[in-house]
Amino acid sequence: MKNSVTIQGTKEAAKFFDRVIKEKRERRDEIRQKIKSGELKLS
Amino acid sequence: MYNYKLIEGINYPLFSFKTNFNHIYQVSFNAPTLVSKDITVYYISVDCLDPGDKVKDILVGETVHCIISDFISENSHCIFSYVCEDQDGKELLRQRKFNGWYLLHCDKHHILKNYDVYVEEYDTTYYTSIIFDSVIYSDEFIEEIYNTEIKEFTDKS
Repeated sequence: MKNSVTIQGTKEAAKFFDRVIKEKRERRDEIRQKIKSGELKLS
Repeated sequence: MYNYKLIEGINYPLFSFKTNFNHIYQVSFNAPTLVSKDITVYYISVDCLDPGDKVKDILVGETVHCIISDFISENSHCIFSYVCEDQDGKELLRQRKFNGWYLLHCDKHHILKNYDVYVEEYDTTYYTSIIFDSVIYSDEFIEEIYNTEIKEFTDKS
């Protein structure tokens, strides 16, 4: 089975992936902020 | 491999570990939507919380792989997506690294497939990887799920 495929995306797909990436960054920033404030201890 | 732990107090599965070089990594699984047919798509994030260059550390990949494998084992009917961040032009590198981590010890059922989505209007490629149980789901079904996610998002926007 081929491991990689390239597919044509629409403008809607671009918006969707932009949102997924934006949410990833926001969650990471939130965790950093909670660590900084002492609200969360990761390790 | 490093010891890792599930972090409490976050409303999605978040695992963390600290390396011998004092870098803290987190691996999270976010399921923003439930798509049709009661299938959950988890979006995987792997982040080092410390900025700057990292020391090459083979144990990081082993640990990330273990976290992902364990989570997949417990949620084997789900679909897992990794969308590479694109803010610094290193998205293809991220995809290769993620592939390398996952393919270290992939099992027979769960396969990893890369979907590189080219959007002509913006001359942009989004590099994504999908992990799914190939016994349960076909390639066509995975693409259908992706299209459903995009459609639902578009309808809500």
